Parts: sequence; structure tokens; C-alpha cells
Amino acid sequence: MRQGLSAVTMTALALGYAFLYVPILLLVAYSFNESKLVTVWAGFSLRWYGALFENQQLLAAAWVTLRLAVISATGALVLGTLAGVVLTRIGRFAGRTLFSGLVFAPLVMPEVITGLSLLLLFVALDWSRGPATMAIAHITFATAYVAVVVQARLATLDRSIEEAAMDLGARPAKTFFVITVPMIAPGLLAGWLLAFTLSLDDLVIASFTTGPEATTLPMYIYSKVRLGVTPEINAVSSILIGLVAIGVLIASVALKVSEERRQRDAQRAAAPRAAMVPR
Amino acid sequence: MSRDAERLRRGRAAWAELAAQPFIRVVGVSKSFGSYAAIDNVSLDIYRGEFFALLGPSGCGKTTLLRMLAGLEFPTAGRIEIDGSDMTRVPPYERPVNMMFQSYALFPHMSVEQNVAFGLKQEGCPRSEIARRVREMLALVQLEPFAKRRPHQLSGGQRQRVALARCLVKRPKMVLLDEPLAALDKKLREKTQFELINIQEQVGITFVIVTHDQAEAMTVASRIGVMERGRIVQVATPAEIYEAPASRYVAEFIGDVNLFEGRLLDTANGTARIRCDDAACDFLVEQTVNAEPGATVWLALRPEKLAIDLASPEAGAVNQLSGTVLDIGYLGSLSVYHVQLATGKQVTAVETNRARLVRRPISWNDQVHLTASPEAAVVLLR
Ligand SMILES: Nc1ncnc2c1ncn2[C@@H]1O[C@H](COP(=O)(O)OP(=O)(O)OP(=O)(O)O)[C@@H](O)[C@H]1O
Ligand SMILES: [Mg+2]
Repeated sequence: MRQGLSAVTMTALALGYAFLYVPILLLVAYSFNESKLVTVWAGFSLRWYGALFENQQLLAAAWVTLRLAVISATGALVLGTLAGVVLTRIGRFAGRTLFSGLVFAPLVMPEVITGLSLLLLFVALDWSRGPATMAIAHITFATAYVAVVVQARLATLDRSIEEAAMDLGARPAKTFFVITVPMIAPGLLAGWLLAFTLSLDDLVIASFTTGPEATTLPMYIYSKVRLGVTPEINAVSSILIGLVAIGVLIASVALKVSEERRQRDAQRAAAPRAAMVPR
Repeated sequence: MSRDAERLRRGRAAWAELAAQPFIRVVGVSKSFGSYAAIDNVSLDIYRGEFFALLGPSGCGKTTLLRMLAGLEFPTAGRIEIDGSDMTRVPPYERPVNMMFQSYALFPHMSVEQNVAFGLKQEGCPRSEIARRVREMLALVQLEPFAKRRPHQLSGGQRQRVALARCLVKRPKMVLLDEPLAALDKKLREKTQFELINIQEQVGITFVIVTHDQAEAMTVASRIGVMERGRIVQVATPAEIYEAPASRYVAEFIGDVNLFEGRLLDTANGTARIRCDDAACDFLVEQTVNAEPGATVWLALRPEKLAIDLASPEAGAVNQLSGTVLDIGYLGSLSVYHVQLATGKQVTAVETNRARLVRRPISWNDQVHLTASPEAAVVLLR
């Protein structure tokens, strides 16, 4: 039931949205500012976007970030899916509660602590820090997010479909790839995109675990902002916001589609139309 | 129907013949979930080509037993043999058995054709043979026009056929059906029951069907195993189960029955005399009863075996009760009379309406007489 929007709720809604999005809108608006001074509007221009592509340092950081996001999202997808499968398909086993607690802990762990502990680990192992250690760190915390999404999808999946596949002669591994994966594909896509955007905009963990030669876009932006905000930074931030927004949008659409499909299947199973027998 | 008669004869021959080797042997199988015993020491023999029904109320363990035959669940104790080899701990993908699930469990992302072909692909069957066998199977279940559709584009009845085709196409040694018709409406269900029988005859595969609908079990099965709380309480043909139930539980579960508690007076030359206080009557039953005189027994009388009449029966008639008509249910082909005896006990009698309903001779509050012949009643010890 949808209630009519009263003046009060409208105001509350507007204030809420304003609180969340006015700063971002301002940033995006000023990225189109002609003036070099961030706070003075001097007309519309795309010159700062053009300038981005001249900035080698920035392009390098963008490339590092993108590669890192793809690699860590893929790694997190694999590990998170495995965790989701273990948590939903292997019944009860010793240490299950502990395992699920450990899988989901990074969701609530302060980033500073995750970053610091990983840094200590890498130092202890004497690994040289750079893109590889950052990827490991990102996989560590993004895995939890993927596991949540995949586990939710697997838990609502009709177990008997997988059992039917095994009954028809497919081994468990084959059943997983041929039957389970296609059915949870929207959930997997959503999980990957979630991990991708998390990696894309992470500053804290990346700063802890990177080395001198690998700088990500958020790190670059942060270091520049300390010297003062430039319109160029506004432009690159706007692009980043756009990317994240698209990722989140696709992820939520994918989840919605999979949920709708699930509900439709459940409905049809519960109340099949009986007639329509071919003759 | 001569074909039904033939089916009965063929089926009956298989297990009546002592030489026949059981095709599926369940030996002392138990299954516990935690401390709960879902299946409790069940032994069962099923013969080649049988249409065997497992019948019982919800939660009695039918699905669990079926899943153990499929290999989806392993017994806690006991042994399962299929065609001479021990299958107790063989995983489902290595068993010559296919199962049709209660929810059908069709693969939603595959077409009807792909669903049916799935099992053959796992065997590594050549492409051309897969295509041919899938086509044949779709023809058998009359689904050729729907080959390219996805499961969600089919009606309930059509999906049921896809599920059946999918487990038949591999030509397994045994097909397991878990409430295959539960999701269909009454008319379609009855029609499909006969189709199932026909298909089973055509393919000649052993079928084990699970159902909690006694009429369905009676219609399709050559033998029925009645289950109660994890145990099998009787295995027999539908007619035997109906006419000679092994216990009150079976008698009440299959069809309607009037039960009287009584005391065995004597058993002379194949006739038992039973005194039933709640019927205020001594019953004569032609049955050899293995119990001492004085033992508590129960008398089961099917409603259609009670003749109902307004006139008093002639003198010397046995097994007669009298009471007043409480209620009459007119069901078209039948009339059901609920009669209250002088003792307060209610008895149900059924009569077929042979003549057209011009006048109804028996009406509410009439004093009526009920009689049962000595062959009609059954004495139960449990
Ligand atoms: N995986 C399980 N874990 C725990 N208990 C179970 C499990 N599967 C079944 N049971 C229990 O075992 C008993 C038998 O279940 P089963 O599914 O075999 O019943 P059923 O005869 O098929 O009933 P229905 O007619 O309702 O399908 C039930 O009491 C059920 O709660
Ligand atoms: Mg069941």
C-alpha cells in the first residue's frame, strides 16, 4: 500500500536527499566550471575533463585502480562463492558458526584495522608491497560482501534442482557449474560489481598495503586535495562517482531480476495452472 | 478392462512366484535425523516391472525412503540392493535409478528439450542418439510442440510430463516418483493416473510411486506398502489391503470403515464369534483368527458391506444392528447413511442408487436395520 506523500514526509525526504547528495552534486557541477578557482562559477566548460587526459600521473593511477578492481573483484567472486556454497550446501560441520563469523567479520571490521593488520602481515612475511599486496587486501574484505550476496541467493534456491541433476548422472562439480552457476548468475554478477566498486573507491586499505610505486586513483586524489582542490580533481572524482553509480545500479538491477525470477518460479510451483493439456 | 486384468495378472505373478528374485531389496533400513528416526527398520522387496506405491500420511517417511533408493540420502543402518548389487552407499549419479521430484525440479534455464537431454549427455551418449531418444520421449508424453519452451512457459500438467520424460529417457532400472500428481487438479490427476499406467506398461520399467492419496495408490499400483511413522505396516495388492487390512490403522487409512471393539468368544471351524458391546451384538465372521478366546479384537466393516433396510430381517439372520437414521448424504451415484445405534455408536452404510430417485424410502429419524454377511467383516488383532 502506498500512502500519499504529505508535506511533512516530502520535506523530510528532500532534506534527507539534500544531506546525502548536495555535496556530490556541487562537486559534479564544479567539475564543469570554466574557472580555475574552484569556488567561483565562470561558465560551463569541459576543459578539465580534457586536461585529465594530459595528466600522465593521473592516468597511471587510473590504470592501477582499474586493474586492481578487476582482479580483486574476480578473486573475491571466486572465494566468496566458495564460502557461500560451503555455508549453504555442506550442512552442519564442526566450526561452522566460527567459519561464518570469520567470513562476515570484514563487513563490520573498521577499515583501518583491516589495513593495519594486513600491513603487519606483509611486513612480517617480508613481501614487497605494491599492486599484488593491494589485490590480496581487497580480495580479503570484498570476499565477505560477495559471500553475503551469493549465500542469500543459494539459500533460496530449490535444492531439488541440483539433486535432480546429480540423479541424472552429473557429478557434484559438474552440477555446480552447469546447473547452480547459471541459476545464481545474477547474484554472481551483483557480487562481482559490488566487489569492483568497493575496490574502486577504497582509500584506507589501499594506503596501508601499497608500496611506493603503486598509487590508486583515490590515493592520488587524496594527496592532491591536501595541496588544495583543483577543478581537475573535481572532474576525475565525477568520473569515479559515475563509475561507482553505474556499478551499483547494475548490481541492484541484477539482484532485483533474480529475486523476481525466483518469486515467479515459486509462485508457479505453488499454483500451477492445471488445464492446457496438449491434445 | 482387459488390459487392467492383464496388468494385474502379470504383476501378481511376479511376486507370487517364489522363484522370482526381488529386483530391489531394502533390508532392515533405518534413517535418523539427529535423534529422530524418520525410517525405522524397514524391509521391503520390489519385483521387476512392478508399479509399487508407498502410501502413508504426511511425515511418515515416504520421501525419506524414496530418497534413500535414489541415493540422495544414505541409511543410518541396513542395506539397499538393486538388481543384485549393493547400492547402499552409491551416490545418485552412479545409480541406475531416476527420480521425479515432488516439485518437478526442472532446470529453469534450459528448454524442455535440453531438460530431457540432460541425463543422456551425462552418459556421453552420441549427439544423434540423444536427439532421437529425446524426440521419442517427447512423443511418448505428447510434448513435441513444446520442445523449445522453457519450463516457466508450461502449464502444471505439461511440466509434470517433462519431469517424467526426463527421468524415463535414460531407461533406468527403476523410476521413483514423489507425489507426481499432487500439483494437478482432480480431473487432470485422474486422467494422468491412467497415462502413468500406460507409460509404465510401454516402457516396462519398475516404478515406485509415493503418495498420500489412497485412491491414487489403488488406481495405479500393482502393490501398495502402507507406512506409519517410519515403518511399513502392510505390503499387499490394493484389493488385499482393502479387503483384508492388517490393522485398524490400515483399515482406517484406506477407505471408510466402521470399527467395533469386541471380545473373541470362540473360533469354531473357521468362524469367529465376537461380542461387541458398543454394537450390543454378537458378530459371526468367517475368518480364522489367531487369538485366544477372551482376547480383545476389533471388527472392521466397510460401509458398502452393510445392507440397510426399513423392514426387520427374517428370523435367524446374523450380524444385525438396528438404529435410527441421523443423516443421509446423497452423492449422486451413492447414498451415505449415518445411523445411530441404541448404544449411541454411529455407523455408516453406503448404498448405490440403482433406481432413479423417485421416492426415497429411507428418511431421517427412520428406524432401520443393518445386516452384514459373515464374509463381509474382518477381524483385526491390532
Ligand atoms: N533433512 C531432514 N532433517 C531432519 N528431519 C527430516 C529431514 N528430512 C525429513 N525429516 C523428517 O523426517 C520425517 C519424514 O519426512 P518425509 O519427508 O520422508 O515425510 P513424507 O512421508 O514424505 O511426508 P509428506 O507426505 O508430507 O511429503 C518428517 O518428520 C521430517 O520432519
Ligand atoms: Mg514427501
